[in-house]
Amino acid sequence: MKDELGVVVGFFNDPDVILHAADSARKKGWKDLDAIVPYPIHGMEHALGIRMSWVPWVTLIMGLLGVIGGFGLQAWVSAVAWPLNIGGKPLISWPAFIPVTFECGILIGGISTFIAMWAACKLPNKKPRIFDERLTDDRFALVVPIYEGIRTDDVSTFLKGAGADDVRIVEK
Amino acid sequence: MHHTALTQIESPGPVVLATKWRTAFIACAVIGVAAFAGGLAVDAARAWQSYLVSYFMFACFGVFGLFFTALHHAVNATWVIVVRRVAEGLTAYLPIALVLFLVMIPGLKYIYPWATPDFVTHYPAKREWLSVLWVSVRGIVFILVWMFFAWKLVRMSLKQDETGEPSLTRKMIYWSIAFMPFFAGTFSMTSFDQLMSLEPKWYSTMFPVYCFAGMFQSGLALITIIFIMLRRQGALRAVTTPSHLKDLGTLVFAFTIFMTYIGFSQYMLIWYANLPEETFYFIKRSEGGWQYLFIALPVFKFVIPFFGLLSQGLKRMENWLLMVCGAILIGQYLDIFWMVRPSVSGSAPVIGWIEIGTFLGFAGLFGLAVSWFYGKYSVLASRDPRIIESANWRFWE
Repeated sequence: MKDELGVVVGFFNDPDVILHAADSARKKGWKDLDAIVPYPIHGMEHALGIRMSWVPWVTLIMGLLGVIGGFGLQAWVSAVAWPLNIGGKPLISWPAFIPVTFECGILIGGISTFIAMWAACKLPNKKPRIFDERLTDDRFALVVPIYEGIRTDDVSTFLKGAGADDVRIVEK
Repeated sequence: MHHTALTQIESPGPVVLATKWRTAFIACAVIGVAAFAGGLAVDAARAWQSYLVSYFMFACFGVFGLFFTALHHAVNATWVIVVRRVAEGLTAYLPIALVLFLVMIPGLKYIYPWATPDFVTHYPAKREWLSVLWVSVRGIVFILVWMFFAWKLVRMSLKQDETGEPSLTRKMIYWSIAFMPFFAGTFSMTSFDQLMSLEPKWYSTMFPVYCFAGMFQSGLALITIIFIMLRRQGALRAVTTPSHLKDLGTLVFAFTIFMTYIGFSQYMLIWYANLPEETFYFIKRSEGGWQYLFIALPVFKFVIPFFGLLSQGLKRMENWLLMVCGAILIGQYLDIFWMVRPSVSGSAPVIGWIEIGTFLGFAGLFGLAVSWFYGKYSVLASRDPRIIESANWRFWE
């Protein structure tokens, strides 16, 4: 990936306007677009060109491993490591293992998802980019990263044309 | 794909069933009557049991249409408004269920131990609750209660199609909330009377929840199938998207987990406590060939729908959803069959011409009743105050 030279931030007042602006910006071929908005806007992921996250795969695989591990641990403990006759039931009494197996799946899946989320979001982030405090209130920002070959002026003009009432250029 | 938001909704109007389907349903009904009559001559107990299995399955669909409608009002859901009329249509079967229940009354003595004279002397304490008279009266009253609420809710919904009056939505919400306690009571007692009392010695406090979970999962599967049919036919094509499919799929998925949880809980508690007066129910149903059916249930009701609906992309595919929902419906039939049949017969599970024929008969009558509704009334609640919001609902597109 090429180095980001800086970003151009367009500020909007309307969620529909920024949605269309993001859609057009993606169609121009600009990559790694970001939108900073006070609440989720349906369709924004698609407009920005954000693909499905890889985090669900971590959840699935680690959850299944948790299921196998949880069942395996109980089977090993009760039949191999320390065989114990409980109520005359077989050593590997699978119905009794299901609740713990289920919990292990949830636990391992959950913790792995939590860790994967941090990795996916590149957290902890020591230098948060705060463009405007009202972005958590009633303003919407579209962030277009500048790479080699993209002219800052073009992006500014585009954002103004797309309905941004303020455009700021932030150097890296 | 980015869709432009709809700003007005045209009523798609009623959808009249194609003649070949109507003919097929009528043929099914005729086959059903013939198979059931033939079955009575060959083996009356088996015929009445297969009647009960199909009766219970389809009566559940009818009341689920009502419950789904009421639930959607009670939680004030928006996205599901485009699906509501599909659910309301299922209630058209309730009057037929009432007639079919009346037909079953003379057959009670063949399948329920409490309907035989022996029972009264052996279980004096239960004879007041479990007698032909009272079970019949309760069964009739419960269906009448369901019909009353269905009539109320569907009538208001249809009236809104004409007037677009927003206050009707509020009234429907009140009636729906009022229905919930009635539903809980009537459905629980229906499952006691019609399925659990097949083994009058046995009891499980999980049983009504088990029946409820089966009804919920299979009812959602049926609604999803009809919804996809109406999308294919074109009536709901303009106002619905794969987002709605995905959400229906998610609901089916959620209640797949619920069904599994309830089914396993009931089994595990009885297995763990190991009390003979409880375990005999499962022992009877896990030997002599029934063990294969017992293993098939979690396959059809858990493995296929759980892994089949885990992925978001698959839930948006009509054909895939149809297959998974079809598997759930098969699972539901097998489940009720597995609960009912071993109570009288000690024989291995056989699904022969009596069972299939009787099932086809019920399916035919159900199909005729429900398609009559869709053919008479618009398949979309097109003037609900929030219908545009519902149609424009999008998840990730």
